[in-house]
Amino acid sequence: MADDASDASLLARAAAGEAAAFDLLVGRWNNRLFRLALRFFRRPEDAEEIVQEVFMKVHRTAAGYRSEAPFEHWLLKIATRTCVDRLRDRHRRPESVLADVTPDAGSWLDAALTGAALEAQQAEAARTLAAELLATLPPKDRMVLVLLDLEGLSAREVAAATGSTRAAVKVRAFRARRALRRLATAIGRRPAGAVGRRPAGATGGRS
Amino acid sequence: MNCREFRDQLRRAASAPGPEARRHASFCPACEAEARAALLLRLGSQRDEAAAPRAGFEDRLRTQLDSGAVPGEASPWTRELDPLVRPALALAGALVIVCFGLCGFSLYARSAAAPRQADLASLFEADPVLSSILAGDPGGPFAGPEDATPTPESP
Repeated sequence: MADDASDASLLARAAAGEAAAFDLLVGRWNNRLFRLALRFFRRPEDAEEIVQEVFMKVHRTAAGYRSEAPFEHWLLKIATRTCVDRLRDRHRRPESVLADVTPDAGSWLDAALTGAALEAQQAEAARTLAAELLATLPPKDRMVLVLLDLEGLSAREVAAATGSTRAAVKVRAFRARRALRRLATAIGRRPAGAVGRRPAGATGGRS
Repeated sequence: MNCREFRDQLRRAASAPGPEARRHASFCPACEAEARAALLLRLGSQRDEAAAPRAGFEDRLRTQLDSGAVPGEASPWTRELDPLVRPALALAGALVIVCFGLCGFSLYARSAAAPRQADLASLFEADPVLSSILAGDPGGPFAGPEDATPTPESP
């Protein structure tokens, strides 16, 4: 089969029951979707499950695809919806996350946010805490911010991928950045006993 | 470097801000907060750029497709019933409220009616006018001694 066939034509053939066309489509897009899912779900198994769910939906709704919209936007829309639905299940309140922050993890994250270098174990603890803090953002706001700031999509592309308007995307991004600033500031303002600005490279386990 | 340049660089940079940006942030609290927020986002969303699904992903997906089940998705039955669940719950809630309201009202009406009946009975007993009416002699209480019907004299 020609590998240079367009995504839309592969999808049309997959909708007609050609399994090989669908497999080719999966091969083209699974890495991209997997890496997108990894932005939100740190465990590779979770990210893989998301990708699997996205492709199942693609397979089921292939006949409904209208080729006026780029395939990538259509696929991203399914992927973002799937991720947002899963994120809703894991959404936590900021107060509860901040209350659970251990002094060590808090201080390491604070150090990381000031640009200090950390040991591998500390950096991992800081990353875990940062991911927990991000889980307190409303899922759609987080999705918009990740697509804009980390995936490098334009506001128009994000609007197409999330099924909203450019204005709504900008409002969500503004709101998410404000919430992030608050969280980052809250980590820095924890009591000195709880979060001390340790020198980079300080050792110690997570209490 | 001004604040606009700092934020532009912050959005474009894939890693932590450079020394000039850090110098700016040390004098500008707003930009410092912005930099911390950007780093928090980057740190919490960090991934291995070369990551890929585990080997055999396509086979597992094909198995899933053949079985027809979508992981994490509601079954067709649940999907069909889902639009009915909320109205049904609202209706049930409304019925419960109406039932409680009716029960409360009937209890109140019963408790309010009981002393009223007792009052009426005591009024009948105490009031000579009412008792005379009930006895079939409406003028009885107002009759003077002269109005008294003469009793037939006994022979």
